[in-house]
Amino acid sequence: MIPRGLNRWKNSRLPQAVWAVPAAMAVLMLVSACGSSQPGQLQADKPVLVVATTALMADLVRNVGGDLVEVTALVPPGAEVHSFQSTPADSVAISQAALVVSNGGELDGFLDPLVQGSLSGDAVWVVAAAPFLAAGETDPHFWQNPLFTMKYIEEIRDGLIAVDSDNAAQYRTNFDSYKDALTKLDFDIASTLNTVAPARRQLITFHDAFGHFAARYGWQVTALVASDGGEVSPGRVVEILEQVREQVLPAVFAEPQFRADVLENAAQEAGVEVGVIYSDVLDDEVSNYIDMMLFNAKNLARLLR
Amino acid sequence: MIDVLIEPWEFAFMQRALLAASFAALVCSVVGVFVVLRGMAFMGDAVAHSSLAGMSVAYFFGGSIFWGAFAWAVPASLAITFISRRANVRLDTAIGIIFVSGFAVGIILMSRVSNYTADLFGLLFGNVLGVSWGEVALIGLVAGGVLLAITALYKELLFTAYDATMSAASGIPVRFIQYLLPLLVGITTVASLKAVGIVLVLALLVTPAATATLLARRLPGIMAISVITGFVSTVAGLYLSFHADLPTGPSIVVVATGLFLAALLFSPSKGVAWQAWRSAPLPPDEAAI
Amino acid sequence: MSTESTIEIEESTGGKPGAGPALVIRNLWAGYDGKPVLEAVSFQVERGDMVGIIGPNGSGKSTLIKTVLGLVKPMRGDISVLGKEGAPERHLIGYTPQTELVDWDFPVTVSDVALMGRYSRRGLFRRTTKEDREAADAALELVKIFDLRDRLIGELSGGQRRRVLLARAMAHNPELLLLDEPMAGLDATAQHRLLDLLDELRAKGATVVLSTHDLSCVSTRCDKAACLNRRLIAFGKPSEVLNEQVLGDTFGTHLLMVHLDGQAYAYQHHTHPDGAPAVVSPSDQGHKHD
Repeated sequence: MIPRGLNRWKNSRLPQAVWAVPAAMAVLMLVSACGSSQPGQLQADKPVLVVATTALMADLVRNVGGDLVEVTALVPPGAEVHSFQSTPADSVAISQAALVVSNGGELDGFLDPLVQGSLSGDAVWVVAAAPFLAAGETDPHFWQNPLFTMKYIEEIRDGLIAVDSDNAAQYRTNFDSYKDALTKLDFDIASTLNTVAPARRQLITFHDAFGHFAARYGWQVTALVASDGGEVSPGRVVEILEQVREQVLPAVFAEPQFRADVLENAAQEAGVEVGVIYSDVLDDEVSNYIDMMLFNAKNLARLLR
Repeated sequence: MIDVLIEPWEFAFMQRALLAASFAALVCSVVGVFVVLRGMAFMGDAVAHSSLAGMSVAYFFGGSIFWGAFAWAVPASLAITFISRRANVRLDTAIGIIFVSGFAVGIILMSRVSNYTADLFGLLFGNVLGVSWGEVALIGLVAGGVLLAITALYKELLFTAYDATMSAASGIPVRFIQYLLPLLVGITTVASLKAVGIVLVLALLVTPAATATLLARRLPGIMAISVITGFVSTVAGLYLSFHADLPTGPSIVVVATGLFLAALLFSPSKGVAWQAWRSAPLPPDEAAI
Repeated sequence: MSTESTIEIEESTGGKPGAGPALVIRNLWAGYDGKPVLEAVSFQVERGDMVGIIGPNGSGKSTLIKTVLGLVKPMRGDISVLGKEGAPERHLIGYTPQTELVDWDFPVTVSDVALMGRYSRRGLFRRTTKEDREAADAALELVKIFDLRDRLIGELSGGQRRRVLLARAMAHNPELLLLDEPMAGLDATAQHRLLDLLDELRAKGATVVLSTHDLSCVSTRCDKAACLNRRLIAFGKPSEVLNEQVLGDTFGTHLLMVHLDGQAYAYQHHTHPDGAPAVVSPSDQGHKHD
């Protein structure tokens, strides 16, 4: 199929330019082969570079790492994880990180190829939910249960020690104090929620992110949508309306990053209020994990009391 | 200055992105010429969207989503051609039906699956920054296959495109060609999904070719300019994305569109700007003198 | 008037020893999707003749041509082209389709199109040779548009478009030319030029079969006329065949052929309610501009 001669432009033949253009690409590749950037090396007296997938994970890392780490979140605060479009800067950050922390499962699993593609050979990648997922759990929002979060920070601590063993003692100290804070958080949430009558301990939300929360504190949870990106079926809306009416619940709950028209319309029809609840996004109102969890507990108690 | 040019290519992920996006742009530019000249843009878009069904099925059975999309694209494009030719339904109607039904089936299947649907949307929106070397090779192979088919059958495709009756009379298997071209379009768009995602693959298919028709008269020239434009858009888009911290797929499309607009305004023969400049004022009205 | 010139031409080209008719059609039934469009058509075209197939829309003119080309399979009957039965050798037939079927916006030049006429000699995968290019150029010269060879086909006038299709048809030196409505949409001057061209080609040994609505061109320039309306209503010399009865059966209306100063006109005559022919109006084609 190799044509004879390059002087056939008069013919209606597929021009040679089509095959010659990749030559320019080859030039670029040769140039780049000359110098690939060195991946994130750990340097003394410089903070450990960590990339976390979400702002929430970043917050946890900061609490374990303290001043010793510099954390960037791929998905900025307030943004919804699945509509996230990465830029080359994100991949550069990953390639320079000593530690990458992701949640795992349905939540940020689609970012895996991005991490795999740019992770440097020496770096460690912690998938915080891995033990839970391996045990067969499917809802990836494990941090809704502070006891599970303790496991998260344990793995983060171990990851930090693996890449920066010189500071192991500091990481352990940070871990211990944050773990105490989580224990107190768990207690505070439980006592706040206890102010709600048992019959009203029903959480109705748009998005099924609160299973672990409900399980921990003995609440019933119903979600309109089974998973991220799913479609609402009419049958579901009817079920929920009935539940609201039966139990005479004063409120249902929606997350700020989702447009929950369906839930809001259903709530309006049933004459109930729509309250705010946070699942995996931090914003100006709640800027860290503990504040987020406390806010949720207090809001639930306030609206359902 | 040199630094600015060289820096992106020091990263492996950018090298892979360049290769994947270039392969996609190359094949889209070539196939795109036929698409633009024959008015088949809608078809490419439809097959890409409709392939969501194939992806969902593949995911459901734990297979590769990429191959699932392909497996759907083949019958979808054949079905479009068949419906429009045999059932006497207009081409754009046939396309619309296949398009929407495939997408709907895909969504239904996805709602049935209670876990891990996020990466299906990932494929829809595309992120060339996450391609692996294996995927680069795959895109390259598919692109190469399509280009080989077009090179081998170039005259036949050309002849059938502008005079199907005569080409049949000359012994060309016209029916085969008429099924083949939409099939190639379908395969090309699915292969390019990884590079730019569903929303933007249509742009990659159509824009460089449209730019070329404004700048060249004859088909070989149009092909050449389409390929060059597609490739320049890819490289410039990657530079833009890297240095301005923007998502890659949209950056490539923005550059391609910019080139098109430039051609629209300044093309030596058809540029709108020149036409306005060139139109001479009318001679004075004799009656008024 | 046309009878004598017809005989002359026949004698000048019919001298090949053992040469039979260019085209023989016997009891042909053909159509699409199981429904016949042509019924029991039989006629024969002698070498060097120009035969005009006339008939209204839907009469099967195009189908007849496509069947001869081998694009449509006969349901019954057979066709023999240049003495050979069965599927015709493609390079022996030159064909021009109806111009509406061509995408004139496609960015190809006149010489590209002429070159494609060489395809039937070459087939798939073969590269164009010097011989191909020379033959295409010769064909362009023949139809007198060689100086337009670098023009895009979209830039051509109606008459020039016919000629480029004709050049393509002639590029592989066929012996039989099948032209599907070559006159449609051309003004009278262009029509005459085209017919003159066809006469030149016939002088070189080609046989021409063309389909048309235009009765005057058939009656003045063609050796034979085939009146088709699904069935072959009549076949023979125009002066004998193109009478009111035949035309009425072919077109389903009352048509009258009028010969004036060597030109022929077809007229549809309207009858007043009281029976006398009053208003005489020309049919849509076939009248000459002054």
